[in-house]
Amino acid sequence: MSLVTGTPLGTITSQEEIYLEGAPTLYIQDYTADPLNNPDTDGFYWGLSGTSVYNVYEIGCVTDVSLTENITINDVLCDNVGVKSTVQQRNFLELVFTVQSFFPFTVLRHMVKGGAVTRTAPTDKFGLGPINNNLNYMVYCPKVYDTDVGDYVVIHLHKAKFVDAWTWNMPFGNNWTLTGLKLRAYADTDKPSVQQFATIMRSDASVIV
Amino acid sequence: MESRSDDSRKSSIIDLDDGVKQVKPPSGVWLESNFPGVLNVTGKLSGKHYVFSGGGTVVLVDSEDVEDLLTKTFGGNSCCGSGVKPLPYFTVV
Repeated sequence: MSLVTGTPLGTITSQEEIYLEGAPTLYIQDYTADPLNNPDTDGFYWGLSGTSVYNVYEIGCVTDVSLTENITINDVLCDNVGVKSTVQQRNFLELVFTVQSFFPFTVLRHMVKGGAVTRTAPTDKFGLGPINNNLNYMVYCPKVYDTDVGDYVVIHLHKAKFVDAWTWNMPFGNNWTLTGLKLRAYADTDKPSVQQFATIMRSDASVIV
Repeated sequence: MESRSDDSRKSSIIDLDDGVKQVKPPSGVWLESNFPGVLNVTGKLSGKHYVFSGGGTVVLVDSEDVEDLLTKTFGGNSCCGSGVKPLPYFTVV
């Protein structure tokens, strides 16, 4: 909408009237695997492709999903004039969520930092022992915002790890939940510096031409 | 990343006359596990016990068990509408 007066002169980019709603679908895969686009024709690394050795796991029925960043921030304080600038550095990103699906254990065991699953019909077993600190994951979070034409956004975290303590909630008369799940995405120094932490992509053929 | 069980890898060596030895290749079919974990299965017809130590593990399976094992699938009953289809436990290598 144009203002009656006071609009800036020159080239102006305004935001679109498209609003996103709901959580993306979360997928994880061992970081040792290569991303699907490694890189794509534009030099970006993103996407997953499951193999027999490196399965892609879909994390089911998530809630309370949020992505935050952690930065170190320090003001440049000049004693004669005050703060002249602020120095910032990104430390990591964090994807926080709650899960309400517990099966199969082959997926759950990654979230609770458990050991490998052994399947002998009709049982699945896995143990909780010392945490393997060498396990990193690629995290792929697509969100389709127009299902008619398949427009979507994707957040791809290159090198993340489940950190922090989880809580397994078992309420009476309500579904179990696994809260406190936190995927911390570190700088992946194997990637170009502008996309060390993540690649974020939008696909929309009607707008991006 | 494939790993093969040493026992299943062995070919049988048959002694023929005049000191000639014939190496008989192992019978069966190599199957690769797609299951992301240790998988213990028993062949329906042979009754043999097969251990796949992880995804990508390749094991020699008795020919008569192959057909049944290839029909087995896991996963796919996704909760959230992403349409993930069941995966076969095994693929023929």
